[in-house]
Amino acid sequence: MNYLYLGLADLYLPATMAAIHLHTLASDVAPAHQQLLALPFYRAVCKNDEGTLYRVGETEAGDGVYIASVKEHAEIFLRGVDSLLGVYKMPRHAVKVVPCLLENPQVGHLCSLLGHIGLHHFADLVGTRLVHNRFYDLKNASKTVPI
Amino acid sequence: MRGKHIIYHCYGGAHSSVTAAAIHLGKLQAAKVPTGDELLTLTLFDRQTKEDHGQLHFFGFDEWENLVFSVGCRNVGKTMENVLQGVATMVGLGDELMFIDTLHCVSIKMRIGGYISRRLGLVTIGRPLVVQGTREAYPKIAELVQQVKNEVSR
Repeated sequence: MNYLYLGLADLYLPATMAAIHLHTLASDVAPAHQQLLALPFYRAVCKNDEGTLYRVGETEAGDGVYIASVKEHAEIFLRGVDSLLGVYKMPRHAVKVVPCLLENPQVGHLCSLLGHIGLHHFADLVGTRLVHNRFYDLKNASKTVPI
Repeated sequence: MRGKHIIYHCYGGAHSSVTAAAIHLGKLQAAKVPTGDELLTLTLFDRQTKEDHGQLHFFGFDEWENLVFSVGCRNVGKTMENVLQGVATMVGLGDELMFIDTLHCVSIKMRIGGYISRRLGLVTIGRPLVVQGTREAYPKIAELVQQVKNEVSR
């Protein structure tokens, strides 16, 4: 089984969810900025990230954990993956897509813009703010994933 | 597993990708522009809704046993290619997918007609326009399909 955490113009939330899933980040307290910065792929998205799947790691059970970001229309990717698995005659749980969506996708675009003009530090600060704002949602969402 | 999975995609998965898949499978003749009625006999032509976007629709097998699909990807076709290719690689079947974007064959009449018919739901106004646009764009779509067939036949 594989897990794909899907962000909307954002890799900060998927990277955090993946880390919680892999137990590289504790989910009981909101992590510090430095802890988050140490996570793989914890950064603003750039053009080449569009739809690219990044393998973050593997659980003890051997499940692959991936993250990806899409610009918009997250729901069509859920349908696309489901129907592709159907085409391959694979069970839907072979790849579980977990959306980690920003409440306001424009903030993700703002982070991308900051990263694009070289202000990576500020992009990361905004990203951490997003993670802190949504941390308890992420923590609760991680409970619905059979880790 | 038989052959490749050939996926024609466009914005709504209702016109150009459906037409391309039908040409690929010989349901429409490549050399002859179909009539409006012939286009409308295609099950999916001008019938998709936004709730169907992202869903792969199987059309059939071509002469090389490749599977032919159509799908609507809105304006994120390239991203969809990346995601599905990534997922296919993840499950060990990455070499089988072939994506063909038909959106660049779409004429302005198809865009306006498609919007009126599919988005606004005004089928009686939009459908004749999109059918006319599809007939005008047909040679371009047929040429694209021929390129694909040349590639898969090698």
